[in-house]
Amino acid sequence: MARAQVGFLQGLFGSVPIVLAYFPVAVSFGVTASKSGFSVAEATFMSLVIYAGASQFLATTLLAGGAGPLLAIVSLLTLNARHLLYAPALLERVRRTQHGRQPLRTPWLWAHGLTDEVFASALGRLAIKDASWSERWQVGIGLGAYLAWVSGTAVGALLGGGAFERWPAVDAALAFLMPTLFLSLLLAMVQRHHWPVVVTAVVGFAVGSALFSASSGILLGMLAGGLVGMFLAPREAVQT
Amino acid sequence: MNLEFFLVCVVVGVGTYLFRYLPTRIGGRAGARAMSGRLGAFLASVGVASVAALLAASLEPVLAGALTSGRLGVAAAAFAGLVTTFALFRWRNDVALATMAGAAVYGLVFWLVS
Repeated sequence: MARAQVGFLQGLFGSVPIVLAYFPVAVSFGVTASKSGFSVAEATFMSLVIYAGASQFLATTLLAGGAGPLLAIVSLLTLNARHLLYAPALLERVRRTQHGRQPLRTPWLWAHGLTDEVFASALGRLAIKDASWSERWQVGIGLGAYLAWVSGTAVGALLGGGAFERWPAVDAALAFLMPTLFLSLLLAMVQRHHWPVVVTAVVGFAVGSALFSASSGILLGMLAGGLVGMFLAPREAVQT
Repeated sequence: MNLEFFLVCVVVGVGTYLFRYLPTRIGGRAGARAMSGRLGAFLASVGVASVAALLAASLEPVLAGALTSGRLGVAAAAFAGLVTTFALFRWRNDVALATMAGAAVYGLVFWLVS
């Protein structure tokens, strides 16, 4: 029996959980960027062009901390390099569940929206028995999430760094969104064999920040953790 | 908008777009195979390592500030926020819920102790 194709609107509707998750975090990013001295236009431009939450928080830390452009570019691209894995993993899952490879017509359009959460949602959809997938659905889910991220950033930046000065507990809670976001993302990503990577990254950060600066510590932690993971990866993960 | 900021955003934005787009040109099994092996293991680990380093970097000013100023209540608030995030994520497997709840608990304990 042929499966009904899912389209753009189903994808847009499917983005609602991501929109609810993205908007408040994007507002927090806008407030953080404003506190770090970036204008509304700069914060919104960063969300429009880079569109990768963790690296945007890192970008504000690095650039506001006086890191040079080369260090910032290398750090941010290294952080975002994991996105190389998403399209192959997604398309392989599509091939398996849709009984063959679909010709791709608009990957240039939906690729920009292939963030951690959109990728995870697409895989979640494909894990459902007999669920179908289409590029229009992918454009829809990606567009909803993108608009939430960009508009949330603009709202946060418009509110400004001093928006919650009269409510220090709210201000503190918003500032603490970064650690809780990174802890949640870490818990979502980490598998049992990754714990040496996590420990190495934290030690690398501590050493780098003690010897040089916080931004150097982040870069050292990333690279040291990545190298440890490369050599400690389980055999099946390397061979598949 | 200064030129340095603009250039960093554009270079990182274009690079990130290419990370997402170029593998679709290889596609499916061939792409998965290309990203397997040591390169794939490195890229998979570097994502985890990046987030771990960012977590440490975002916690460091909170904890260092609390400990050096003797405001142990702030450290307790951070502990409560992180434990809430951990427990909620383990319970519901929901990044947004765990993130927001952890920050809310931090703010609540911060308000109680300050």
